[in-house]
Amino acid sequence: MTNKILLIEDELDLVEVTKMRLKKSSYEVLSALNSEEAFTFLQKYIPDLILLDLLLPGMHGEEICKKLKCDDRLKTIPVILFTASASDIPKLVKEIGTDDYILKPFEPEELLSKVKKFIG
Amino acid sequence: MRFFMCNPKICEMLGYTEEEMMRLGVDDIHPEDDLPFVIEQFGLQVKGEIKFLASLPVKRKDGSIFYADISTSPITLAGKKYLLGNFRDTTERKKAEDALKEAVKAKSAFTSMVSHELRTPLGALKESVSQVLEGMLGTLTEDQRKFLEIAKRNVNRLARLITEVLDFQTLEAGKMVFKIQDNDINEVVKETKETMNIIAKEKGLDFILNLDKGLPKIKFDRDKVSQVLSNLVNNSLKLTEKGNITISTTQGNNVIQVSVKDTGFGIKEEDMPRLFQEYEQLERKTGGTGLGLAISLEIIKAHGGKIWAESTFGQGTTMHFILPIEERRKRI
Repeated sequence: MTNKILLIEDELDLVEVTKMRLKKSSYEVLSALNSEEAFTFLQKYIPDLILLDLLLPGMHGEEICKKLKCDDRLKTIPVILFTASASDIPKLVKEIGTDDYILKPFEPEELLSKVKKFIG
Repeated sequence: MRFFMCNPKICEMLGYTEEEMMRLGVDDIHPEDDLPFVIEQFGLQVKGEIKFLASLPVKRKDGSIFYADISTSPITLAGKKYLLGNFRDTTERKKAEDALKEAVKAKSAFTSMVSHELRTPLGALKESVSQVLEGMLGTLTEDQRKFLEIAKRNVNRLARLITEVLDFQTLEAGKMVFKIQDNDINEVVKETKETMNIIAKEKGLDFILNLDKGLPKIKFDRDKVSQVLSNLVNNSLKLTEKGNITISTTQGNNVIQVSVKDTGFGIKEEDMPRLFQEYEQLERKTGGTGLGLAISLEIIKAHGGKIWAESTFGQGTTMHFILPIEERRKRI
């Protein structure tokens, strides 16, 4: 069965290229542009991994992550922060309980190896 | 404590007449909330434990507050002991300091915002170029590949420059997180040689290692110190056209010293003081941010170490840094 990834990211260009990269590696990728779309999706489906941007319109990535980690149904899904904010990221990862982070612009190998680390 | 004598300037500063001043004491010219602190500080001055009080709040007759540096010294007049106080109004200086703090904060916020806004589109650009270059979207001709490689190289260069600006910002704000562990500095040197050797070979330069094999493991952030060393080697590679680059490690008095020596252009004596200043580039054509050495300095300082340069113009440069064997880091 194909592993499902939910990409929560508001930059459409980045969504497109990231989807392409992951699909070529045989992952199924669905995207949400904001928290509303993300949680609507999550009501119906449980992905195997979430890639989460930090600076999103409305609810920020930090809050989304905290909400995910408080929800018994969703808290076991690994979350990788997908962000362009470089400062204090390792600290933030600990604080909000994400499992890892990828800094934009990213190396394709880094994206794939981190995704693989969690869902093979 | 009543005042015994005063000059016209202090009367003008506080807004009282000389007669009024003679009826006042220390507790009348400082805000009530600050009095315990002020009196304690004066006590320490009388004992000779401190000589100078910086930017103390002082209350004028109309209740307004200004800040003054106050120094006091005991004097004896006609056999009686008094305390002589000198006030220097520092309101303007404090305003300037506050404005400077605000400016630094604004600069930091601006840099973070700009860097973030640049990194996001750069992410999409880099990934698009990579995917086409890898042939994910179809086969490329040699010319197409060559030009996309140029694009990719320059995207990577932009990304590096932005990372440097952000790194410096984080270091300057004291927010850099260091991962301190036992590490072998010789390993870091060997790794740096591995990565940089290709560039050295391309330029026809010899890369020499002169390592003290008996060095103990010491505590430092491997990635950050590796960044410093890469920076130093990179500078040497840029500024050396022939000859060699030598990295040596030695043990000194409770320190490990790493030196990067080149046979390059060298640095003019008058340029030495600007070497570690941020956004300074002695050689503009090398295309950097001018932050490499400023970042290196901050990283080494944060480890409780030192970094410095020795150079003879026309003959080459040696950059040295030392790291303490026993921990004496301050800011980490």
